[in-house]
Amino acid sequence: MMASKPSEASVLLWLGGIKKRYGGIQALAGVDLEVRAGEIHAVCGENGAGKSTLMKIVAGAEQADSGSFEFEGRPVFFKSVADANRAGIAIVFQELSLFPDLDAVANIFVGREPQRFGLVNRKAMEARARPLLSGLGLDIQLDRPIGNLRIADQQLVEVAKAIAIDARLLILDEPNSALNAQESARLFAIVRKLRDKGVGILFISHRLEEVLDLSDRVTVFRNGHKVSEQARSDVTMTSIVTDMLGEKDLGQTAQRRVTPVSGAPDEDECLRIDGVSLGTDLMDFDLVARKGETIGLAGLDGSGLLSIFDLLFGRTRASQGTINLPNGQSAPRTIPGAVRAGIALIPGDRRTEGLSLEQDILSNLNVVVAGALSRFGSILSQAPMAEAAQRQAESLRLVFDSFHQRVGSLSGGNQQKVVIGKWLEADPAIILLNDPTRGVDVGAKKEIYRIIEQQAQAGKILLFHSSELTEFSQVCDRVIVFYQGRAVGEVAGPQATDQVLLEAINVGRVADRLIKDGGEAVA
Amino acid sequence: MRVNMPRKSGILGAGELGIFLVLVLLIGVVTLFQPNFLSIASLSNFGARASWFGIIALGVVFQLSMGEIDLSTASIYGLTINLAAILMVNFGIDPWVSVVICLGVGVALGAVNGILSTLFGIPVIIITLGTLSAFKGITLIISGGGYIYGLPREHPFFVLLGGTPLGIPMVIWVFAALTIILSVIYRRTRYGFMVRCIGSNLKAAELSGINIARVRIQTLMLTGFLCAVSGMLTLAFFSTADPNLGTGFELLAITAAIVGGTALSGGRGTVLGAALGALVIAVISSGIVQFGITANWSIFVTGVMIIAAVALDATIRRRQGK
Repeated sequence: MMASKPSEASVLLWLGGIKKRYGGIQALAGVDLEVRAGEIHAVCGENGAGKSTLMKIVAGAEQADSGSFEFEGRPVFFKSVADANRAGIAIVFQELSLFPDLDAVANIFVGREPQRFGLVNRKAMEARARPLLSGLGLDIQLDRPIGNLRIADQQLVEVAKAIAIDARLLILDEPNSALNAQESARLFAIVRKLRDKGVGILFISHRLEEVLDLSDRVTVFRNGHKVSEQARSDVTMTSIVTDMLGEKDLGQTAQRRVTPVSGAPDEDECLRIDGVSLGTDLMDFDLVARKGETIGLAGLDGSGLLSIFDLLFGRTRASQGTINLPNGQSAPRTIPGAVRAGIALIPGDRRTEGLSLEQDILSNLNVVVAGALSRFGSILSQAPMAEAAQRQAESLRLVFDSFHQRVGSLSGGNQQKVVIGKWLEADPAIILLNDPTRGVDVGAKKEIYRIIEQQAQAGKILLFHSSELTEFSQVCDRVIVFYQGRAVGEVAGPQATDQVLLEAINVGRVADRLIKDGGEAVA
Repeated sequence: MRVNMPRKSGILGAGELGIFLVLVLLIGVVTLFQPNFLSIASLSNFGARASWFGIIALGVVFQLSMGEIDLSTASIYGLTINLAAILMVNFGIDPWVSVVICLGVGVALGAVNGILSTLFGIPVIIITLGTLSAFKGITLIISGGGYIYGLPREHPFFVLLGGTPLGIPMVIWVFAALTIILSVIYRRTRYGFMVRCIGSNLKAAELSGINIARVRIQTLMLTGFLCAVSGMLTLAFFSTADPNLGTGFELLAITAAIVGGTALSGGRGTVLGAALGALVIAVISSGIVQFGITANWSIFVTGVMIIAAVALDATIRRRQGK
């Protein structure tokens, strides 16, 4: 038997035993969920816990493999988002789903434009859009293409689009990832108003502070299962974190020994960042990184840590402060300049940013040394390129048939090794790793950790960011925590468990007992 | 682990074999009905026709390979021809000096395309849609819209470059030599390597530290140079200048490159294939005339052939992808 069906009239949405499988992955292993009219119901869970999949099913964007689905007391089946919209369910997707060349008004009413004599009634649209947008505090020209607006404004238009449907159930999947604190507050005020009018709201956020601030009930997912469902008054930040990560992960010991770093920090060959700011994205950041150190940068989306990668890789320039590279140079001004200065960036999105999938392994492994750095001169002979490829293939334990094989035909893990290999062949002094294990299997992850450790031992400076918090303690000597554009604390590698980091990046503070000796002062 | 490196053997790789067979087949069919098609005179005629735009097509291979399309090539070609003639006739400048100036102008016009594209972040196809008319306009202004006669035909420039060593027009020799040189540049130099990397994934190339803007400008300068080379050989061959020379060459050059096996999507190309593609286009137009069919059909047939070649290429790639 599945969960018994509640009979209260206030139940808006009722899901029982929902299952969904993608290929070999069971995204949802039979979950129940209930949303009442006039409540804000938060759903928490790590990446891959299944919460976004469930939201997509409720909104009609995906269909469940099995399970019961009732809305307002009637069994429903949505083939599309439009189906769900008609039934009274609206969703604000995590990824913006707007038409950048249309203006705000057209976007809000796209597909259901009010008509008059068979023509779109622009006046009626504007009359309805105006109060909606001003309620969200959006002061924009109504006829400007939405693509020209700030991302934050676009996100608010997306919210307006969902509200305009007059839905009884509103799903917000990280609706404020691009909003600042003030804009978020305005959005949440409207969400509360909708709740008070009797709208049921499903709310997903990685920022647990907001979850605690906004929600009436909190459900936690882990690995496709529902772990807990409690009233707001019964949960704490710690209890949510515990539910999200599971008992087995609690108190997990770090697997990596902190590398003893010799020499004083004012020695040469350090990466020194002094008081660097980049608008409001990153404010007043200091760092001294010694050779052989692996430093983790942990934070939520928009916490500013990625600006450090952009600054060091020559993609943008600091508005304030100085950067000194180990070779004595200042911050590079262009990407080619950064590469010549010995800086490597290993992106997580290898298919779009790391590789030429149609080209062979040989070309991909040589693109930095033969192309950008011109190490083999103007006329390329095959021999040094083959030697370079051979060297990297061996040290990275690349599994392949031939160097003339298309890189796209390799497995994800081996593709990522090619991305790493093309940079290691250049022998950089600083390696920036942005989610280097995204989408690779467990075995390949271990290999990538091994490579990172090797590079640290070889005296490189590594800056590491990952969307999986468990990784930090496995590869980092210390982890700097970012919150709203500032470095707010530092945790020694062995103490940087996922539990500690999850709490720290959410509250913007590192628990006192964990602050590393001589670490950055808490802001 | 052993380094397993099969190299392409012989002159024709798998990519060029198809277009080579098409060329042989077409020549065979035409010759069957018109045996004198294989005479030196006839071959020189269609070989020269292929060379005028074929030389430009060699540069187009580099452009397409890095994901760019240049529509101004024919205008650069026409501008250099008329400018050279005016320098020689109206200003009495020595033909060799005029030629060097015009080669430089070709390179400079290519650089203008590249710099404008980079400066404003606009795709080359859009910029050259403008310079197509702008350069053509300059040609019409300086030439007054008419033919330019009275070139010093006895000068060694016209005698040598307009000549026919071993019975074959000079432009064909130059076309053959450039095909070999540019093929090596495409396949064996750092520059050619970067061109292919950029076309295959612009973002990844940029994040690998390749200077995209520089390579783009270099490629457009190379193409501008080739347009001028073809232009100078054309001037030497005809000994007159006409502002309308080369009309439609920009599309013929792109067609030759695509028919020859260069991917419109970038990353993959063959210089030799483009040369063969130019020959195929010229055989079709010459052959159609030989059959006594009106020349208007040749444009239609060329169009059908582009679609056939691209469709075949897409089909093969889809099969390989599966």
